[in-house]
Amino acid sequence: MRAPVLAALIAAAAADGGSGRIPLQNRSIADLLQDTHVALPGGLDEGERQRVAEALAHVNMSIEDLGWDKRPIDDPFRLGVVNVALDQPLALAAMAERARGDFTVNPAKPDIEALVGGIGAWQGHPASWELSACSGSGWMRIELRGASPMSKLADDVAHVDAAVRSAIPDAVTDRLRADAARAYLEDSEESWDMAPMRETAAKVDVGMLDLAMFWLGGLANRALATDAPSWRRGRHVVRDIAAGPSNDDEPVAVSILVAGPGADRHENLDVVVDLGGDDTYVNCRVVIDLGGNDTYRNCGSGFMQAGLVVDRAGDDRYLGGDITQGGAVGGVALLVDVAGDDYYDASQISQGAAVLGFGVLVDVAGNDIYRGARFVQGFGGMHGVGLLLDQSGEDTYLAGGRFKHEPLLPENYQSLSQGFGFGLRPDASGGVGLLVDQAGNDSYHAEVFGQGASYWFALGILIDSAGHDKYDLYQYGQGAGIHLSAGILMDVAGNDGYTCNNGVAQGSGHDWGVGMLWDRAGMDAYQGSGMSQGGANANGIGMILDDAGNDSYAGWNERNQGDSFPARGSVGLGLLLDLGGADKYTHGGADGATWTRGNVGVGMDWEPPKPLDASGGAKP
Amino acid sequence: MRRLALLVMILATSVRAEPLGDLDALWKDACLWEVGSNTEKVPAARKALIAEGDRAIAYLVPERLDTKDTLITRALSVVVTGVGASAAPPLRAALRDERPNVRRNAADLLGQLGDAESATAIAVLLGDKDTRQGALTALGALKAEASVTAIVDVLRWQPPANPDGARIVNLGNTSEAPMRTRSGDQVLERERVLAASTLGRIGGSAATTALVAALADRAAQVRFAAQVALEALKATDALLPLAASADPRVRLHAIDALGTIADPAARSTLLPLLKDPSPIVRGHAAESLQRIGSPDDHAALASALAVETDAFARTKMK
Repeated sequence: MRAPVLAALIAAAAADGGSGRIPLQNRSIADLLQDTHVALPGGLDEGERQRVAEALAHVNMSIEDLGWDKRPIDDPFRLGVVNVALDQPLALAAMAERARGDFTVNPAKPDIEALVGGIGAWQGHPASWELSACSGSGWMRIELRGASPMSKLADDVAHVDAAVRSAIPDAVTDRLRADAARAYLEDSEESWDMAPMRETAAKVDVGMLDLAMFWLGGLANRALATDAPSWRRGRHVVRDIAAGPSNDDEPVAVSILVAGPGADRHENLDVVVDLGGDDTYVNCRVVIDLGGNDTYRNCGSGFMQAGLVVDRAGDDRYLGGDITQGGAVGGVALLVDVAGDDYYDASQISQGAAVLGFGVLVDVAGNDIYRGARFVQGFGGMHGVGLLLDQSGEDTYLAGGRFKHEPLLPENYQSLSQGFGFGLRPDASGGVGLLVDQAGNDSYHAEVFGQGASYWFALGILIDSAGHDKYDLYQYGQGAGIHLSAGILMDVAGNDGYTCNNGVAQGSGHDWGVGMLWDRAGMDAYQGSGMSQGGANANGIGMILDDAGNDSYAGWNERNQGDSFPARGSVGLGLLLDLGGADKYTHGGADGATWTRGNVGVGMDWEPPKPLDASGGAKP
Repeated sequence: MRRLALLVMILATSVRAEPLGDLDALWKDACLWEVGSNTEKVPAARKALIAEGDRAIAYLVPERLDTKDTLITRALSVVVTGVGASAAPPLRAALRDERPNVRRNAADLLGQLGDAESATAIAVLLGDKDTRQGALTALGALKAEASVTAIVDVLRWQPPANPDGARIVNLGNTSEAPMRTRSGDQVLERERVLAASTLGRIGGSAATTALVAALADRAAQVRFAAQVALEALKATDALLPLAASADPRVRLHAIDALGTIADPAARSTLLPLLKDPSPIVRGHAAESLQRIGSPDDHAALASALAVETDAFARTKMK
């Protein structure tokens, strides 16, 4: 079952420091991008960079200046991508492009293993295939050839479970179980000391959880490729599986129920395969469903374990509370829904969300509705990466409605969702939250905090690749960095509408934060107010870039559309850059104009040089 | 989430609490975020603590100074300055506390109290990386002229050059990589920014000279802080020659600062810049003249506008 580490990789590791271990940073996103202030692969093109440089010159700045210090403190949970985003704000564009390219699947044959294999890089780990050889354990699996689907499934589950167990030392399991979720979920006034939780959290081997997620992706692929006739109905116990990082580990057994095509109810099962029918699942950990319109309640949780749901067909309903539907805390979770118009409803840390681990939700097709309270729909907390990928369909994302944002906004609800990263101020940096929607006319609704934004040394990314989309928010988001944090909203195509009642929003940076809204095509309407549409203060940087289309920029507050004001002893940089189309502005901008405003605010509506007439003069 | 952080800090203080239940409760409320539903509770708690006078100071100093939480330091500021001069002696003693947070906050509070007697002791803390920011803030508040040389040293500090020209970044999340800020581990960029603003509060020729030099600094935030400081000092004489600087960044900082100061003495320097080859310079010069607001310049601005072809400069000339 186990094999020695590949000799070539051992040699590579030895050559790279002699430790027998490839440095974790080597293939991370951060490593790839850290010098991209010189060249940004996949980010802004040379023309866009040139326009940025031109605009900055009007406020006595350069692109290099954007690298001013925005991270005066550090902690053990800081991710490299966060540091790079703060150091090189334009790298946010490259990160978004990278995520857009990495996080996509072929609807006809989705390769989930390849998809989740790229997620660890956002934590700072090497690609998963490499990690399996250099994770320090020398743990390498051999593909089971000729084995039955049950044997393969059991082997997969056993290995994923062993990796999760290996990631969390026994000595810290109880503390994590009690406190790791509490750090994010508790909404009471009771005080408690998070220091011990931080200490134990730092001992979780998130690299090993990355490996677990990679194996979970392989399991999902096999589940998608195995048709009903291959499964043998009944209860099976597959014994003597050698799964563990050490040769001394005891073999384990995995119990699997394979149910028939009728309408079944499965409750509290560890591993279940259902061959069809409109089924109901309650508190099941690993589910493979081959067809029917199904209902899931609290299934596939990644709370201190590995959780998986693979649903191959039907219009399904996913219901649950916290840490479900591709939600993980101290573990890994994956939900793959291949077809149908689906409805997802959860409370917190769900729908592609993770703290201390990885949480992924992949919906391949259909017009779907996602609903949650907070920390949902692409959320990353402390040492967590959460991804929601919706490959196609016209989708609706809703976040909020349960937890009031007291005391600041006692009448509004928190969302902290839809491509949102969140750290525990002042104790621990946050993670990476990614929401990637690859097609369709979509609608995003959040309240306080959301939509490509983050808080406290974290990173939030929202990417929408196509369609006419609507983004609605109350405050803090739509490409915003709030308090030493970074976020980007990238919309690639379509005529889009953005509304936000109050800033910080629509390409803004607040208090050492960095935010970018990058809309690359279409006739767009921006409605914001107060530090919006390229606004910044207090050592922050906010940028809105609109590449093309006839756009309108509106807002009632003065602090809009390429503006900044000093606070806390520092200036901020606000940049609005519109690179095409006939545009309308409420704050004095105009086609072909460049303006400066506030402390270090600049707007540029760039127009290509007019063509010359026969005499060499510009045509009117 | 501020509340979450606050709760942790409250716990950290409460576990050491003496039998002063009434003060504990008041202090808890005084440290809340003064927004939304807290807008009445917080000032009331702070007012009650101020009424306790020296008893409140004994409760706060030094134990409650051991914090980096800005909600708590804000409460400390209100209560300590509300009590007044009697808070100074225990705060001076706290400058020698073994805990960096206590030293830093003590210095900051002494500055807010205007306790000139402590300036020398606070200046010593400039050499202490854990307390430097508190010391700078305090020395600015105290207008401690004797400390200017030491503050200039902070302002002038430059990160060591990296041999290959690459910037140092801490990628974090790995035990192999040392923790460090991009500014290096000696003086933070933030501290240099604070040094500039401190010099702007103290003033004097040495401070002005250092601030002028800082307009050419590599770090944008330091340059802008120096500009703001020179504006605060109304350093027109120092800025006028810089409007012809060969360094385009220095030039724009000077032009903008002259506009903010709005001293009519700058008009004769700025007017010729309306014909500068650079449209950015023309625009900034026009804006500064507009801010000075002399009716005598209307004609010059109108003439410049009549021949101006650059959209940005035209906007500023109107």
